[in-house]
Amino acid sequence: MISSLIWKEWHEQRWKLVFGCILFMSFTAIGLRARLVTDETISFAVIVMAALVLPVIVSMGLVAPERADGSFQTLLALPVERWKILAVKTAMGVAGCIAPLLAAAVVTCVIAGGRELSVWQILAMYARGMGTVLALFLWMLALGIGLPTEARAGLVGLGILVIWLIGSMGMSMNQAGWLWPFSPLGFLPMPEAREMVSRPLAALSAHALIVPGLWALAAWRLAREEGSPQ
Amino acid sequence: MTAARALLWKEWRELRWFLIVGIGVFLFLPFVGAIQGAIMYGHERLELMTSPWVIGLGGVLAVFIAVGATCRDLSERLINFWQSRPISIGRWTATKYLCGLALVLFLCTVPLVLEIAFDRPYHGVAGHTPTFLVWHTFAVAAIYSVAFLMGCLVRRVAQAAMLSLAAMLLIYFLPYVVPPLNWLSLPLMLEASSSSGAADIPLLPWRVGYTPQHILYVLGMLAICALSALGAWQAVRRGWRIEADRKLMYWSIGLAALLLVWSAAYQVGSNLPVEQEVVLPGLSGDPSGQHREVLAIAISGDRGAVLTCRWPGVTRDAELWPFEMTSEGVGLRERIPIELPENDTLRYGRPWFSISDDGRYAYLIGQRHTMDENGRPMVSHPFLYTVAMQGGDGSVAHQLPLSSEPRGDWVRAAHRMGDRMYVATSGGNLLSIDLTDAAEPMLVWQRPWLREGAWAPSPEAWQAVGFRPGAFASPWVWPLRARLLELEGFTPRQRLEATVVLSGLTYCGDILAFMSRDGVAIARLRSLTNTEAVFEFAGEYRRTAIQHMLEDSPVIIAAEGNHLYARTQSGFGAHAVSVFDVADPQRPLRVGHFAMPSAYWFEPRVAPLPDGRAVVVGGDRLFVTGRPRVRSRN
Repeated sequence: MISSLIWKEWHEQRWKLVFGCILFMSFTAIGLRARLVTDETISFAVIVMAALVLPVIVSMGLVAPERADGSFQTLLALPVERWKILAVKTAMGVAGCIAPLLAAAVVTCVIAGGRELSVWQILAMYARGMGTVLALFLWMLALGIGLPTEARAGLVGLGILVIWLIGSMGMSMNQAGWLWPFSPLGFLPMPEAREMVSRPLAALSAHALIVPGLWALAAWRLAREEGSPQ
Repeated sequence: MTAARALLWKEWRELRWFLIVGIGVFLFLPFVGAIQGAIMYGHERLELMTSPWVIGLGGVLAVFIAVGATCRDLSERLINFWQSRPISIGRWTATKYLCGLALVLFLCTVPLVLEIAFDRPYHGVAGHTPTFLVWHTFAVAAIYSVAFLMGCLVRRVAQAAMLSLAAMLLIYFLPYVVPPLNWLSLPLMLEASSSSGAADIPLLPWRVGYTPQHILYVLGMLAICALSALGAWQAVRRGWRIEADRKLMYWSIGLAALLLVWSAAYQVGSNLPVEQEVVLPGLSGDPSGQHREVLAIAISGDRGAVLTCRWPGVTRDAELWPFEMTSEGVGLRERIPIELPENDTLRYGRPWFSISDDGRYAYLIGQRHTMDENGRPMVSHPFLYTVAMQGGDGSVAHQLPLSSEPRGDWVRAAHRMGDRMYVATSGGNLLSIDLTDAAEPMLVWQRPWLREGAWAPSPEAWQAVGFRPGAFASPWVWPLRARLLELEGFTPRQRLEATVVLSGLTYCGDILAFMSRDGVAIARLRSLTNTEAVFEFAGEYRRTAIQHMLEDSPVIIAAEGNHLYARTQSGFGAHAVSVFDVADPQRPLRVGHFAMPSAYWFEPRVAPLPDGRAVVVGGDRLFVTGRPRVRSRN
């Protein structure tokens, strides 16, 4: 049954994955070829764009369209645990968020690896970007899973994004600095040399607590829903 | 009630909510801002600023109105009802289109008129608001019409709105980015409306300039409106429908964004191949926050050197980076730190240096400050330093004072021809220096010479002309006459080259090049006698809009063969080098561009090589760029 679920999600979501990969690879290649700004600035711009776009479009397309079409209740009525349905959808969402950034990282390494940044520096930068994108995606998935339409899920996703942008600005103040790793944006800034390990580690540790909590929230909300009789 | 009145009543009932929202956003919010300004900042009057709202959100509101007006009535539930009514489709569609258009025009013009009215008693006419009012309105009408067509074709609110927003982006920005479509560009029309060559629109209560381009722009926008309305009518009449699913939406918007970015990058991005990239070690990233600025580059035969200077901080702390040109490229040698006397600096005026033919010595022009009793610079004079490059420790082997003007002086330009070097100073002198003894240059003579007196009309006149749009070709500048320097032992052509270079201009074959506001202007040598050269205007390369926006402060920095090299700085602070082909002086063409993010804040320097390649230095890197593409325009 799991393989059928994976097949279904793959067939429904693969175009979004391809779209994200082509879009971000193209933007990265254009930016790195034009060289109007440093390679680091271009890569950072691509990551910021990915953080603004990918979690919203991926999370709004996982559950809400099926709910609007009326097929989601049938899916829930299938003889398969709901957490497995959620797990497959989450995995597909993670792939949709990660693959475009991975593709952009490959393009960056091919065009600009060793030019201004070493390949390791590039990969570390994109890895931090993936952390932010995945954290935002999980927030949007957990809070938007019960919404009936794609438009509402998109609006909720945008709201979460805006709240975290404003909240992170507050967290970057000195007094609230200890909260910064809890923000999805906590992965993003380039750490200084002495914090090269400690800052990403702090963000990872904080999200080791947050991510299971968010996923459990999504699973709980899904478990409370009623499926249609077969 | 007639059918027309019934349709109007229905449209009013449906669209009035947009009217309320529009008034709220375009009038109420600016009004609140004006009251806040009066209370909090003590403004003496209400400063009603509606234009940022109208210009920023006018297109979006037009999209929402058009989609709202079409998608509901064209949905499957209602279209059959409308088709069963005794009203023609054309009349029904036209009423819908015109009511929406009237609402859009009302919301995008009345707030601007009110802004002008509020401002009038104090400043006559408020800034550029009347210009926005006239030209932006046509763009908004076109956006509304395209969105109306989308609504009729797609018939689903979210999809039609997304596609219309993509179309809005293209209407606003594509004509700006793609040069053949510049005549449809709103930003360019706003700029041209304020240019000196624009005539005032008659019968308008405010001064708004227009040119023939504006007439084309208006016709273009009206054509978009007419074609869209016609298309919408046909779509409703024939039941045309596009099944716009998510895929179509995403791909449309993604491709529109990619098209804009690619078009912009194509015009300003790098297209010169990098054959070699050399890092100058220790040049940037100093923990103390200090950097080294590249002051100049010089090549003599197969030897060259880069001159750098610490920035900010001690200005006398300079270094030479000698290199050799080999078949593989540039071979960087050990750097030579230069120790100038205590109060001397190499960063003053236009940095210049040259290498002796045998590559043993470097000649640097620097400046010596004379200090007062408090240690502050009082007056400064230029010096020519000779530094031993081979086996040298960077110490200054010889110093030659270049001026003794009591009020101070500096070097405007220097030019070397064989074993002679000529220096023009700001004090109005021309110096001839003999380099026969490479280790000890010797002053031969000094004469009064000012470039202002050597040219007719004067260089100030060309600059004034060059920075007026499109005015370089104006007949009163031409012909341009240069009185040749009297230099013994040189041909008239060599003396012409010295005259041009010491005047701070660029000479390339028989071509004189100016950087004008619009691009590069080329003058061609018409006649040359023993005493005088006469130039006539040949042609001009006009920079594209996106080049104007992203490449600021263009300056020609080098020339070789048929190629000119100009330096620009982007809005992001990074520098770039553009290469212009002037083989056909009537049609100069931009053939290469090299963006240099590594030269952030610091201007790049270029040393062109005779084979078409160039050595470009900026920031902490030295690049050998490949040959520009072959001229392609016939």
